[in-house]
Amino acid sequence: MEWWCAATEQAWDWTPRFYLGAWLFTLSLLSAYFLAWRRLAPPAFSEERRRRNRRKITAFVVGALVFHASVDWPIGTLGAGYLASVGMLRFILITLVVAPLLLKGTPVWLARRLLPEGRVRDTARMLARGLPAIVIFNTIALSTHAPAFADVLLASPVGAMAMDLSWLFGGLILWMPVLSPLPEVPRLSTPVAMAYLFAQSVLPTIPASFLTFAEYPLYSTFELAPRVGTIDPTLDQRNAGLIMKIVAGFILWGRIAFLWFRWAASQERPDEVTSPDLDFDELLDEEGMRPAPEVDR
Amino acid sequence: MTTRARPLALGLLALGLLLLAGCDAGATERLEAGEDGVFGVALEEPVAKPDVVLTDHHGEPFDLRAETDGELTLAFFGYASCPDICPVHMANLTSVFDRLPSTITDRINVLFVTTDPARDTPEALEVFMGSFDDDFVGLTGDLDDIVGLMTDLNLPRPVFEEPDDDGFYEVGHPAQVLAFLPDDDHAHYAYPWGTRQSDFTHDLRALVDGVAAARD
Repeated sequence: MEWWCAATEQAWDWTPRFYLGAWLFTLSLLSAYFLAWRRLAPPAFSEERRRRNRRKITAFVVGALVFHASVDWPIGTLGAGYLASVGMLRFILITLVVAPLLLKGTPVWLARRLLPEGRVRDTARMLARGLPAIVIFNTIALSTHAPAFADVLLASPVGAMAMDLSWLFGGLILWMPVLSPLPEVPRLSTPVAMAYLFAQSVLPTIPASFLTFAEYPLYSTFELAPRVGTIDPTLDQRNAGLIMKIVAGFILWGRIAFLWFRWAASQERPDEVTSPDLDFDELLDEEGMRPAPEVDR
Repeated sequence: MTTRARPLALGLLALGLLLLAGCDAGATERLEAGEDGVFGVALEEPVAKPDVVLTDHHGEPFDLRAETDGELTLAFFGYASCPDICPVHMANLTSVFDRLPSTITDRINVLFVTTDPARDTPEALEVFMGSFDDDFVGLTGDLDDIVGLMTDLNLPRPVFEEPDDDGFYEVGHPAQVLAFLPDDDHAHYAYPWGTRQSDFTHDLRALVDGVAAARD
């Protein structure tokens, strides 16, 4: 039993490995989430509200499970110690799939607890402006992919855990400007959000090129790992670069397309779609935050 | 620092500390080039190539000195059932050979000498060597001859673990690759476990013409 998936010199086989830290993290996250629903959630009076709650819970649970899959055997094991391409897949799952799902699954009342008024919320508001978020995320992404640093982190369970949690933290920051669960931390307008995501889809081109076109394996972790089948570490690294560019780009462009179609629909039928995110309006209504409609006296 | 910026700074500091916490266990250390520009670790005393005849993975006799005379020769001692270091070393050397031109690789011998001749028959070695470059040679023989060879090269003798329930056992063996240079047929450099493909490629280009060429 190990604490977290990290590089070992063990030969790869399909015997499951148990990572205590990964299980504790996921179970704690889900326990805290459901405890919050039980103790803090406002009552849901309408069927529509209950349906939306179920969607939020589903998003959060799926996010937590995808995170767990990313840090547990076999994906976590392969990605942390054997194959750079699977390592890149983990990075993309955690930052571009898990983080937005967790944000989508965070109800506004919980977000208010997690980001209390004052310094914390001010910081969140500052990060949600876009530029700080993209700078912080890419600083984390670049530093944790720098071979000298990545090889050291992956060599120990604590370092590998730190890497994964930094990716999760970075992913939450990256998506905050687009998916902020708090009305008090406003999201970017749709056109700006699209430009923001486009910029993020372009930035990884540089590190991805280094991985794709490097003549030699850059990471000693994967170069010196026992081979998985006959996969050559240079080819594996090339695949990692392609995954970084293509899969990440596909996810970000998918979100851009979603924003574009919804925005276009709102332009054509302004009466039907009034907000970039229906959840916001609904929550504002439900929690009495929308200014009361003026009534003729 | 403003009060607004402080939480962010503290958060980033915590994250940084968490990341640094991973630095307690080091990754494999990178070799550094010596004064002669070679990444391999220079042996204090070069060791002469032993005079021994073993059996190659095709079952043919292999006279070490005669077969490799005047050519850069890399020798690694391991065993075909090795789960980690042996196949990785050999696979990395195969990748290095794929990058080098045949004008260089034709003048380099790579020898894999088994430390477990009981299991590594010529047939078993042929299967193992089939995963690597076609020109690499697997060698087996009497355990006493192999241990004698290792002793001549100042290498520790193999250590055999107790077999498990399935009869599988691991064998402790030296992890370095020895490089015999063409000009004097002596081993001058050792490449420890962790040597990177780029370092091997650099050194093989330099050493294929001998010590003097490496120093130029």
